[in-house]
Amino acid sequence: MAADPTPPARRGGVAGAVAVLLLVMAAVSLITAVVLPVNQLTQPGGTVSVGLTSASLDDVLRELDGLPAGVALSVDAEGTRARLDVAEIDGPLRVLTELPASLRGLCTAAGALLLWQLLTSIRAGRPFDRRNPRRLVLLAAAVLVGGVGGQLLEAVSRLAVLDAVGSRPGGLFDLGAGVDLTAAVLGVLLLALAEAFRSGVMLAEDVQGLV
Amino acid sequence: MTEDDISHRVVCHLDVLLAERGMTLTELASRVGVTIVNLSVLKNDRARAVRFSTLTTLCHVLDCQPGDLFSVGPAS
Repeated sequence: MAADPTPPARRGGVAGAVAVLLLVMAAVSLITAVVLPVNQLTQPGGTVSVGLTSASLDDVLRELDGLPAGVALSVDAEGTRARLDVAEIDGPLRVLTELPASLRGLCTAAGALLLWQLLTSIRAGRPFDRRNPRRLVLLAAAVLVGGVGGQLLEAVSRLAVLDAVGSRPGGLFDLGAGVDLTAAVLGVLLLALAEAFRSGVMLAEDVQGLV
Repeated sequence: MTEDDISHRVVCHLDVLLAERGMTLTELASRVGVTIVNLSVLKNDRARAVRFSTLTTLCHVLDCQPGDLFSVGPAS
């Protein structure tokens, strides 16, 4: 008996809930990505997270002495990172402080939308839809751009803000960007998955027209 | 029509065999256990491959040989 190659789409269930969740996530992330930099433009200052080479109280106080008025430093509990709040900075710099979060938001929105499309085609019984490998490649790109690109942009904004307040990495502050490779690894895994799906598409096309 | 669809010259004579036996496609589908859609694909030369199991059942139900079902058309 010839098997029906296109089983009916399953409705509801966990996959359905996940699909809805992904759509909501995409919408919220997109709104956040747009609102964050625009909102930052309405604020007089900006905030960046910086790494600390040493967080002894003396070091922090000495560094604070050298910083202009309107700059506040909040060191975290571990003493390895600090939040640098600058009361007044230029407009472009203000936007730059929110660009990493905005970029991540955009990539999250794109990734959630792509995952939703992928999940929808799988639920419809078409896991090896011709478009799925490309969706996975784009998803990998979103993860890489959001993860790795976000970190790079964060480093740029951190440097720019430190430069604006007259402080440079090397003293109390360092780049603090112990690069997190999780996104890179995930991106590569997604690319491998895309390749597997590409092979699946070829196999599926092989049995099309099989009676 | 894709390249795959036109790369073979196998012609199916299912319509002739059905007419000779006074059998409908629906009846054949139910007796062979293949969907009407798939049998229609086969009858209209749009199939790209046939399972041996399908071919065996078709020949059994139609009381014929694979050579009665298919022939290779002339090269154009």
